[in-house]
Formats: sequence, C-alpha cells, structure tokens
Amino acid sequence: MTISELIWGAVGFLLTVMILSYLIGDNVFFKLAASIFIGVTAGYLAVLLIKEILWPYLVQPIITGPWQTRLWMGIPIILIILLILSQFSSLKGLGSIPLAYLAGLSAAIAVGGAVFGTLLPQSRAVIDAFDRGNWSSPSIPAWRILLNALVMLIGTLSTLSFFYFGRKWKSDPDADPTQRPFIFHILGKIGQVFIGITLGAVFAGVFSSALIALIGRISFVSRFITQFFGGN
Amino acid sequence: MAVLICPECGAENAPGDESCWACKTSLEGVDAVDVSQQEDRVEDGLDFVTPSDDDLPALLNALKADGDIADISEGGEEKMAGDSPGSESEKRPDVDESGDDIPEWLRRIRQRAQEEKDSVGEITQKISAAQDSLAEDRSGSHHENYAAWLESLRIEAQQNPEKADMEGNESKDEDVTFSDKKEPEWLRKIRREEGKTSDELGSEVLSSEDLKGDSLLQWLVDIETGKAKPESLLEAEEIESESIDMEMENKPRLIEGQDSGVTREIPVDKEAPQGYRLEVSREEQLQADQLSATIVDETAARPARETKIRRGKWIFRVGVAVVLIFILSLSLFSKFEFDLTGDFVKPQQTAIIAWIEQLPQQASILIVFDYHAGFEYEMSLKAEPILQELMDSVSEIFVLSTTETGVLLSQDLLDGINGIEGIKLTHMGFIPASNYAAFSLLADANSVWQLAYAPEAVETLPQRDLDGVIVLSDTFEGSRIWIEQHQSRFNQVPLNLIVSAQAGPMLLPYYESGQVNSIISGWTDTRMIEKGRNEEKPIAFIWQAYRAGVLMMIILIVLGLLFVSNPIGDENTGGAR
Repeated sequence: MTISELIWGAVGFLLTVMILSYLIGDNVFFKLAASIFIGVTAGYLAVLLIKEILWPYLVQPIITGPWQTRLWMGIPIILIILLILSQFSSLKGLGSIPLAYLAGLSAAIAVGGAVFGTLLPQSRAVIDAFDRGNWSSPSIPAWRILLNALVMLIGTLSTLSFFYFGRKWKSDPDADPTQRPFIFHILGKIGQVFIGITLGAVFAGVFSSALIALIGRISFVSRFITQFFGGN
Repeated sequence: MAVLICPECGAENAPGDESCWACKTSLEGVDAVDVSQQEDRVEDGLDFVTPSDDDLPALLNALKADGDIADISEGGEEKMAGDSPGSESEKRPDVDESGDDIPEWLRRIRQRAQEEKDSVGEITQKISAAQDSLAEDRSGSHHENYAAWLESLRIEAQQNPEKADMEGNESKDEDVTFSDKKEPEWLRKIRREEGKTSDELGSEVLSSEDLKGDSLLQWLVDIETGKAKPESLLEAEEIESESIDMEMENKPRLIEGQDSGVTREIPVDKEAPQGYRLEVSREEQLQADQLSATIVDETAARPARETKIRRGKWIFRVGVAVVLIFILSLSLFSKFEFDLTGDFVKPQQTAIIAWIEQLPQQASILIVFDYHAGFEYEMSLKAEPILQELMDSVSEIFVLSTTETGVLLSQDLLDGINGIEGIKLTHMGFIPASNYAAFSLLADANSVWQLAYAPEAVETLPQRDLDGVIVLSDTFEGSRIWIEQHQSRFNQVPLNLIVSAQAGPMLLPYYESGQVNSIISGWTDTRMIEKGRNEEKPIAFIWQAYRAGVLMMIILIVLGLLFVSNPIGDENTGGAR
C-alpha cells in the first residue's frame, strides 16, 4: 500500500465511519462529513461548470471564434446579464425573460419527447400485444402472451381510471359530487392494486440500491483494514 | 276582594285556606287583605313611573327601583315634578322606605330580601354585580362619566327650577306631546345627536365631553345610532345576527314615532347595561376549554415519555443496523455461494449479450454516464462485465457525462477495463441538462440546430450513425429522457440501459414496447452476465450478501407487521382522545 493509497483510504474510512455514526443519532461527526461532501461537491461543480461549460462554449468562442460566432454568443450573454440583474429588487422583472426562455425550451423538448417517446409507443405496445402475429413465439406459449397483453390492458386502463376525477356535466344535482361514475370507480379500485404493486417494486428497488451501497462500504472498510494490517 | 297573602312566597290564597297553594305554608294568623285596594296602590305605584321614566334604559329603571339612586331621582326629576303645583305626581303616594305607605306584604318581601341574599332577583344581582364592577374600576372612565352625568342632571335641575317648573306645567297640557316636554335630558341629547328634534329643542348644544371618549352617554348614543353594538351581540353575532338586525332596524321607527307623541320605550336592549360582560354559551365554553387544554398540552413538558420512546427507537435502530452489518459481513466473507439455474435469466439480460456479439468490427458506441458517486459501487460492478465484453469488437468509444461526477467516474471505470488502451476514447465532456444533451446529441447531423454553432461535444460525434448507445443511469428519470429523445430522433440505433436497481422496475415497459434493446438493473442480472461469461469475480460473493440483506429485511417487515403496535394510529388518535 502506497502512501497515497493509505492517506486516501484513511480519509475514505473515516468519512464512512462518520456517516455511519448517524445510526446513534445526529451528531457532530455526521454533520462534519455531510458538510465536507456538500462543500466539496459545490466547489467541484463550480470548477467543472467553468471548465466544461463557460470556457469552451462561451468564452473561447468569443475570443477565438469568427464574427458570426461572436454575434451568436450575444444571445446567451444578454440572457446571463438579465438573470444577474433580476437579483436586484427594482429589476426583478428582467429575470422572467431568460427564465421564460428556459421554461419554454424545456417544456418543448420534454413534451415532444414524452409524446413521441412514451405516450405513443406505450399505447401502441398495448395494442400490438393483441396482434396475433406476435403470439407465435417459439419460447413463450401464446396464452401467456395473451394473458400478458390482457394484464397490460387492464393495468393501463385501471391506472388511468384511478386518476380520473371528472363527472358528468349535467348529472343529478342531489348526487354526491365526490362520487365518480360507477365504471371509473370500479376500474379505479383495480388500478389501486396495480399502483400499489408498482410502488412496492420501486420501494424494493430503492432498498436494493441502498443495500448494495452498504455492502460496498462494508467491503471497502474491510479491505482497507485488511490492507492496513498487511493482508492482501 | 279579600285574599290571604302567603308570608313566605307572597302568593294569593282564597280566604279560608289553611295553607298556601304554592308553598304549602300555613296561613294561620294571616290577615286577609283587600286586593282591590292593593291593586289600586300598585297601579298608583306604577303610575308614579312617569312617561319619561318609561324611556329610561333598563339599567336606570332597575337602579331607580332598587333605591340606589332614589335620592338622585328625587333630587332631580321628582323634584322637578314636585315643584310644579298641581302635577299628578304630587298627589301620588310616595313609596317611602319608612314603610308608611307600603303594604304589609311588600314590606315583608323587602325585609326578607335584606336578610337573604338568595331572595334577590337575577336582574338585581346582575345590577349589583355591574355596580360592584364599576366601583372597582377606579380608572374606568365609564363610571366617572356616568356619575358625572348623573351629577350634572341634579345640578342642572337645581340651577334651573324654572325650567323644571315649566316642564311640570307643560305636563298638564294634553296637546303638548310627551316627547318634547317630558323626555329626560339624556334622551333629548340622543335625539339631538340624531338630528331629528334639534329644531324643537332649541339652540342647546351637546357638550363635547358628553360625546367624546367612551362614556356611557356616548355608548348609548352609538347604540341609538347603530354605530355600536353590545358586546354580547358581537359574541353571538352569527347566531343572532338576524334578530339583531331586525331590532336595529326597528329602532329608527320607534324614534320616528316619537314625533307623533306616542309613548314608547327607549329602543335600547335590556341587556345593554351588561354589554361589557362576555356571554359565553355552553358550546363556546367547551370549545374554549378544549383550546386551552390543547395549548396547555402542547406546552406541557413530558420528558419522561419522550425520552423513553426515543431511547427505545435508538436502541432498536442500532440493534437492527448491527445485526444487518454482521450478517452482511458474514455473508461477504464466508465465500459461500448458491448455484443459480438458467431459469433466472431474463430476455432483457440476454439481449445485451446478443447485441455485443452482433456488433460489427470497428464499431463505435456512445456511453452516457448519468449516475452519481453514491451509486459508483453498484454501477461499476454492473458495467464492468459489459464493457469488458465490448473490448473485442469496439474500436471507438464516445464518453459523455450528464452528472457532475460523471467525468471522474467514467475515467475511473474505463481505466479498470482490460484492453481499453487499444480503443480510441473520445471524452465529450459534461453537459449539465440531460434533456438538452440528449436532444442536441441525438439530433440529425444536418439539423438546423447545428448550423449556427454546435457544442463541441456534438462536433466530435462521427458523421455516420453510431452502432449503439449505452446509458449508465441511477434514476428512472435520467434513463427515460434518453429513451424518449432516442425514440423520437435516433431510433435506428440500439439503446441499452445499465441502471441501478431502483430504476429498473419502472423501465421494463420500455423494453416490452421495444424502445430499449436491453436492460441490466439488479444484481441478479449482473450475476447472470458474469455466469454467462464463465468468470468468477467477487460479484458472486457480494450477491450472497445482498440476498442475505434482502432476507433480513423481509423478516423485519413481517415481524413489524405482526408485533409492532400501531404507532401511527396512536399519534392520530391523540387529539381525538
């Protein structure tokens, strides 16, 4: 074990123990480790943004780029200036321009991606599951494919029904306004089962990742101790 | 008609009755009384209350009847009335406390009232309480102004006997309206304040002291004009708002009617003298008690129970952690391995192996690092076997980071791959927003977005299509963005996901729909890849520890369901109890 490995291994070991000390409650060691992580992350991110974003994409084109490029760089510079000026209370309204640009651009990209990347393909997948041409799989029997398609269809419809909170426009005025239509009520109850299974799977995944991280830390600590005392 | 007046309760009994019909008291020795004479006397007594007295507020009537201001009344209004020769009040029998003209039964009642406090009526008790309260309030301006006002009435009557005589003489005149001549001074001031009889009342002007501040007179004026409401009405405004409004609406009509000379009562609520006393209903009292109990309960110190619960939780938490770490360590270092059968292999796992085998020689791929440092252990263990498999067929790798630590993590991961030296590595740097990164990188090379000025990362991409994209992500959202942008703009290139266990379940539908070529998420998938490559790496032993940890968590959840009480229910029902 070299000196560098020893130092950084010791730092990692100490930080791991300090974080694990949260088991006995909030204490100064945990706060110290958390503060170190936050500070290091913030400092690293600032340097990274300057090095990877501002310098190559803003400063360098202005310095070395042709005049067309410099002209184009005027747009982000103006947006940056507006965002900085918005920090003053009297010029707060100026910040809405770059924020509106960012929000609009993000919405356009996200909506386009969600429609063409999730909504339409997933809907088509549910429909294609009932295509008889897809049932002729050599490894999976047809009834399983059909069952899978039915479960997907019921799961999709019932989950969407669970989030349906509308009612008829001209319904009985004496009726309970919180009562959904009967069909949506039944499908919503079924949808709760699917949502519960999904959330359970997500929880299991989160727990699985946390458990793997814990195993990784235990493995690191044991390896460091072993190496420190001359083991392999 | 002669009747027997019960000495105890004052009830009238027929002559000859041996006991009172009301209280069963023996009437032996009780003399019969001629009721007709008594009624005349009572009527005379009631007549003694002049029309102007009818206009007095309830408090003043009660005070006057109680005798507390008898001297003031006698010195004031009665003196004014008595000075006028021929007035009717002069002929009426005076109700003297000496008892000369008071009937026997009334004298007994008064005597009992003096001896027994309980015999005093509720109204008298309230008045007495109000008087005591006013007397205790030394700095209160109400009492001073009220006393000053009464004193001013007396002084005014003494200094202006002519005016009193004139009013007394005018009282004989039947053509003269009562409201103009016999109404008390304070009522005339009220009416003058309202401006309805100012012309008839001459040029006399209200003193500023009477109308300023929070004097009783000012309060009466405000009541009369609707500017103020008794506090009791304010307290019960929601319940009695309608009746109050009707009452307040009736007041102007009563005042207007005074011009017609009709005798009427002052439109002041009988409860007005108690306006400063808070009237609380039983329901309001219960709510107030509950609120007080809540406040007291919140501020009450309960260290013993809190310490007990915290200590119990702390012990339980540390105990579970110690047991978990012990079991994981035991599984990790025991080198005990369960053998897995091929039934666990899933299609999304075998798909990536098939894709690697089908890659052409000199293939170029894009690897996106979209995970954070906390998932480095998990992601590197999953990605290493895949990247190692790629070394045989890939000649160029483009590396892009969409997280802050992605640059460092990519270098650390790729440095550990055998044979990476012969591969052309192109680091495209860090692009912070995954949405923009995916959109710009996966855009068509001829897109107008790249005409003006494209990021350096985009310019480094090959002009031909990539042979595949691998996304290493620790979140569902990060992976979904790449799937969506890839599907909409770059769908001919296979997309492979190596994601953390927490993101895997949500991404499976994208594999089912064919948008994703393969998914490697859990450690089971990684173990299958390793086993398929016939390699024995630490993954097998780590996987055993992982399974032991999962088993322990399942046991804990079951035990919690069976034995742990309902702490949430206890907390939620605390308020109800």
